[in-house]
Amino acid sequence: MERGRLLDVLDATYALGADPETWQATVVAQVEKAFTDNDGVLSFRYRLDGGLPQLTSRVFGDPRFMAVPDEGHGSVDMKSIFRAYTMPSHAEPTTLFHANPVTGEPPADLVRMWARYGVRDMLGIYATRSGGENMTVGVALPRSTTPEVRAVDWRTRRYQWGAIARHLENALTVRDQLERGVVADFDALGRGDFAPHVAAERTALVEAARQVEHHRDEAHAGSLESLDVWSRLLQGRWSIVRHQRHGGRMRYLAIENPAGDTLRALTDSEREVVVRAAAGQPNKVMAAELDLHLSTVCNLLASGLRKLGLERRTHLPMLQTLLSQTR
Amino acid sequence: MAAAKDPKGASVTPLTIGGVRTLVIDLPLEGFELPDTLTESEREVVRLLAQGLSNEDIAEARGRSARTIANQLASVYRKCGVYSRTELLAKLAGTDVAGA
Repeated sequence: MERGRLLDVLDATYALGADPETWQATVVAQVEKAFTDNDGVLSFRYRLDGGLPQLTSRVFGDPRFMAVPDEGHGSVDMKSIFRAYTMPSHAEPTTLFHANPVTGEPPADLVRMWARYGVRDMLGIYATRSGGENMTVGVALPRSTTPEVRAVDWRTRRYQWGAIARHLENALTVRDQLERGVVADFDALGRGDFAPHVAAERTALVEAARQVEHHRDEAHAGSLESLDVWSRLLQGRWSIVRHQRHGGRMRYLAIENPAGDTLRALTDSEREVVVRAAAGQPNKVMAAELDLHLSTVCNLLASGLRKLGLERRTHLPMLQTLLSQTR
Repeated sequence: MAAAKDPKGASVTPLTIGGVRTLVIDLPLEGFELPDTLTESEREVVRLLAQGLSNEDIAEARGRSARTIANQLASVYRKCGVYSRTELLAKLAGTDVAGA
């Protein structure tokens, strides 16, 4: 269970103020904190599209906010949220819909269709403002796609769905609990807090969540002994999907690609260039020693770094040393 | 604790998220062997550089201008006998033997 993390994020949502930017900053801070406190398991790390904070906050957002008129962040970031959630046509587990702006309900014909296909629940409900009128938009996730759904292609973020679905299940559980036992008062602008008599209950929920142990994979840890992660990064067996600073140090999150996936494998020449860059060699020297044009070296290094999931060559030396030691 | 650790305080922690095996990799902050001639602020800049930050990022973290950071780094390179930031990092990380 990831209840602790979810409550962290829910707390941020409840702290909604009049100023969307403040609210967004709070959510981002909470997400970062959740990431730090929980060893990075809060895995909505898809800064690839620049959509991370919005993505996370709304996934766990309380549906009671769906009718809140939204001046700022909704319309700006809806596109990235949609990009993150919209699947390619070959998978299509999501449905975007225009909901009833007052009740937040999806259109009736969609509801009937979902009933036929076993849609479990809505993933999230987003309020936005389009062309001057309030519009509520939702994302639905069919039951068949939880909890282990995978997309087919790396570029469609195959791992996202498994993680989202899993967190979603937990989010819905927590939401149900909150809605059953907890009452909150909100004014017309969506500002508000929990009523005093439920504060204790919420504290108890949060405390219970804190005591939930994190999922650490001992078998996986054992296999680390025989794992040269650096080589496997170069082979495309592992990829770095996120890096961020926290607590003054740099933290990377790497994931294992499925067996047989060769999309992220470095070619021999990319590998050569990356290893030389990790040794601190300048591009000019590589070009001379490998008898390549300078721009070829630049291109090889760029594609190598992209496959590894890194932004710049300065990440290489420390990673190589550290990851070679896990052998 | 199942994390593989090295003496410098870096760690590699295995986690499984949604059935996918992942690693959380923390880079070391301390323990680099630097020449004694480096000033305290130069050392701090090197620590931040080792996290893969740009001059602008370092400047923000240090509350200095990017120009100051560049100057401090130039002095670090001179004292360490290297010509670029990657070369400096390779030297700190010990990956420089085979290459340049």
